[in-house]
Amino acid sequence: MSHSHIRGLPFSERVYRLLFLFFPAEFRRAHATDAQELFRDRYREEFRRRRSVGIAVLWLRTLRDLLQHGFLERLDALLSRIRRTPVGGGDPPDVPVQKATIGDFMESIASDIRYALRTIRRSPGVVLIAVISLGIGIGANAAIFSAVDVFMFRPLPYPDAEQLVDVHVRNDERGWTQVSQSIPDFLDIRADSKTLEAAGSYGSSFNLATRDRPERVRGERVSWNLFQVLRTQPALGRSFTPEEEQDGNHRVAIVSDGLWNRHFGHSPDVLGETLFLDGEAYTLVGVMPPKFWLGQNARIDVWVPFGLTGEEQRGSHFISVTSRIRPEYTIEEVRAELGQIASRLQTTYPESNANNYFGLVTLHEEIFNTEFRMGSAIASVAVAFVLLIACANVANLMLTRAAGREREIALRGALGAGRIRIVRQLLTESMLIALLGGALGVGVAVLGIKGLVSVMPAAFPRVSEIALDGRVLMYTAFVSLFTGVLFGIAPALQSSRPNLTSSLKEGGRSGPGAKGVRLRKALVVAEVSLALVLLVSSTLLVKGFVGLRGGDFGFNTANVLTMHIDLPTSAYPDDDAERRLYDDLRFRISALPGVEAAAGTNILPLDGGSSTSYLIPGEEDPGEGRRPTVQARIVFPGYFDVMDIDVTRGRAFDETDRPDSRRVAVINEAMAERHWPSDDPIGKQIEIWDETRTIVGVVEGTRNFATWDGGSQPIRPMVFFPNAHESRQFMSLTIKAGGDPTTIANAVRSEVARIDPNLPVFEVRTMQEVVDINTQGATVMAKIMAVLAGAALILAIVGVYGVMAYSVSQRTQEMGIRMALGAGRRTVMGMVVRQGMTLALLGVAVGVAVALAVTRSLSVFLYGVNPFDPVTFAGVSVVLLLAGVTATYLPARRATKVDPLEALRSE
Amino acid sequence: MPHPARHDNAVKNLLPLKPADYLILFVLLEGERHGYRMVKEIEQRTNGLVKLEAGNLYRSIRRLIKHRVLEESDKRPAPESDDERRRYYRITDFGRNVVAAEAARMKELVAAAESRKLISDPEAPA
Repeated sequence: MSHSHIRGLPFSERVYRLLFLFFPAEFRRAHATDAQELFRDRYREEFRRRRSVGIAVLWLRTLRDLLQHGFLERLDALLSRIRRTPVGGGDPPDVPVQKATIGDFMESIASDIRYALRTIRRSPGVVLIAVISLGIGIGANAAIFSAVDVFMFRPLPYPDAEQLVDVHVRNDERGWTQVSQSIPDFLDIRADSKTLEAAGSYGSSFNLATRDRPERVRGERVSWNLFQVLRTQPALGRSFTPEEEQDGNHRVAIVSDGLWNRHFGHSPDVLGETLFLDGEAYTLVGVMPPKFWLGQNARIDVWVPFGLTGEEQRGSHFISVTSRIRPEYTIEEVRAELGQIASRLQTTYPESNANNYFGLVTLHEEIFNTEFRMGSAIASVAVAFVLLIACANVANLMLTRAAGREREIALRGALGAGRIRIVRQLLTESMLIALLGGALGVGVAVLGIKGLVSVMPAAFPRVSEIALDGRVLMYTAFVSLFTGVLFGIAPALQSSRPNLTSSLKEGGRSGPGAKGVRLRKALVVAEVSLALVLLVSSTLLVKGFVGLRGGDFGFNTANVLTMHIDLPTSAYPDDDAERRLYDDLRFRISALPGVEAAAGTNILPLDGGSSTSYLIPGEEDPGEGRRPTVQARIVFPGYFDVMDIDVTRGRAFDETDRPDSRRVAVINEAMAERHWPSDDPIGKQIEIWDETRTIVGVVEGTRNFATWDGGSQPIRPMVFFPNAHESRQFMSLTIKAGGDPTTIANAVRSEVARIDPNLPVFEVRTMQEVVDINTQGATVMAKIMAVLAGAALILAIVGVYGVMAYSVSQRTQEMGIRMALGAGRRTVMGMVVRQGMTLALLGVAVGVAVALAVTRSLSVFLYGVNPFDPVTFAGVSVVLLLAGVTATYLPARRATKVDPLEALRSE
Repeated sequence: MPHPARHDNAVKNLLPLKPADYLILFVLLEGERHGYRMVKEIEQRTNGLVKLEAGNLYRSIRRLIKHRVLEESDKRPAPESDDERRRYYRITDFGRNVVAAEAARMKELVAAAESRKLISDPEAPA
């Protein structure tokens, strides 16, 4: 029986196996398999009955069960080893003795807890600070885990999702690492592969005609078998048939649950209805289940078959190939086979396929790409730092408390409590505090998750699944227990080793030995250094983010409005018709009040790419498949003006570029640098898209990619063509407004409607919004890291303050003597502040060293900000030192208020 | 065959049984069971009051095996009827004596409670 349908079961089983290590090896050998089996049965049962609530309860029970019985079992094993007697071995052995011991043990645990509760009640202030620190640390961890879990750990929502891979094209000669497939290559892979079931798809938006007005919907054209490969069938109706993939039979559609609801109110009788997509009639044959999605964009509404004509080009790479590895093959066998197919295609179609290889990544990696993975890793590490800082704080508080109780502990030791017994007592206290912190952490996590979801763009896949569920609760419980041990163990070991005689001696100075002080100071140094690493990292990220917002892209983001238009072929059958409409739009929109200029481009900056191979006449042709590539764009005259891109040589496009005029091109400086570093490119020629074009102008460089791999790279070479020479059905208008670009949106929309009422305008955005959408990964990271760094700073200040305050209170006597001997307030204050500063300085020094080692890993989110930016490092160091001084100031002032007589009398 | 006197002594040494141990043995009186089934039957028998988790259950089983009141069954049900991997357990004759002794002990307690009118004796006239 497969259990992959039960959410979280494989993960939970892994965790269970891990936690079973609480039991001794002997016990595990005998019962681990059975216990796991039982856990699985219980998991299924709880999942069926109460879903996440059941799972949460089960995990709480299981955790208690494993902790308690694992511990007891280990204890039993230990006791029986100690007590092993060579004689006898009577019928049921050891029974009365053992029962008594366990009973005692349980009783003593209960008394530990009672005792811990009593001592906690005695110093509620310290405990409150500890619980709040931990609550922040644990809650932040739970919140980040909730997102990381959804993005990184949960299998994709398809049956046997681990078998799904993305097959892409790799070409080292052209620098392609992960490029889309062409339809003919895909068809060959699908037909020839024995190891894969391959399906293809590409995004394609449609004008969906409803009763009175057109709606723009996101759709995908797919191979007939896509849903089979995903093992996900329509909830209503059927999926596509092989015949429907061919042109002529392809007018059938499957819609999303959302569209079914919006247009048909979930009516069950929709099958067979007619949908008009781009003016063509499609028959509705299926409706997908509510949460179905594929790929990075979570909002696809319509799926239709490819409609293959046989004319598809092997050189046009635009489809994604999603494949399922057949269960009988390994991934190595798949790679080997794809290698054979690729080399056959290279030989058969050298002009398009030279040096093309096929690469594989899991579908999960394809959807949750490097940006998600890096983001998850960075956030996880950062949030772990916050928790460590909180732990260091609490450990310090515990040391303080334990120090105050040194005499009591020594007394307990003298009365016969073994060291283990005392350590256990102290650990019980820290566990209780950790659990209280965990409870508060759940509350913090609820808020944290809300905040986290609100900063994430809705288009991020699976964002709607981020929630406080059983797994997050389980994680929180685990982190709390782990934390309890982490901050409890050092103080417990430390203070269970007091010098009996000196502590009990009348007038023995209460306070830890030199070792306790060292531990305490080490904790503060660690805390400050962790905080520095976090602050530096988040400052760099915020800087990168501000740099993005500030718009150092080389184009105008301030007052440009953009909108997509897509001309239906039925109304605009040829290039001439298209051009007439574009000219109309351009002139009439420019004439509107509030509009300074109107132009357009086929791809907005940051919104995508179109890598095209070209040739410079006179340079040696490396042969098809090896030619260099450049980013090509088609623009309306006036585009450079609207975008504030300076023309540095020659001219921009204008009305003299007509369909019948000489073919011309404008290049950017990066392209000029590539071919004519010391020459004037004006008048030079370039062979691209089957035409030889003359370069008439050079423009300054612009950033065109905001994604993780592009932002920090130098500006890429580009070439522009006027729309008079290359026409496209799909264009983005770019309109420069006199002021706020949103104010002209309605006027532009109605002007477009006056020109052609059936022309849908969609994705109306300001250029700033385009930038925002394409830099959202960095934005999310900057916001998360800023919050975490803020928490780290506050916790670190509390930590420094706590230690300094304690240190001053311990030295009351010494201060009193000093002042009695004539030391001034300033001297005493200076002494305390210097001590605090020393710790802060050490912490900063260690932190800078660590930060230098880790900030490089942030570079994918930094967009050109230097990961070793000296200003950031210096600034953050100063901030932390100032924070250290502030945290020391109050205790220092208290030190100067010491009344020498009082201080001396306290002895 | 153990010596009867020593056997008696062995039974007494195990009393009183922990509630969970008693329930496990009691369920096994009806036949061989694997872990999950024991857990389910105990849950039903106690109206959901007692729900054993794996660690607890297998520690009890281990202890009971050590005391020879139950043992692992070597025969498995037909493969098609159940998962072959699961281990089955059955109660030993000694175990039956232990359950009986525990039941008798509890009966005395119940009788004492009845005689003090804490609970009513179902067989006594109303």
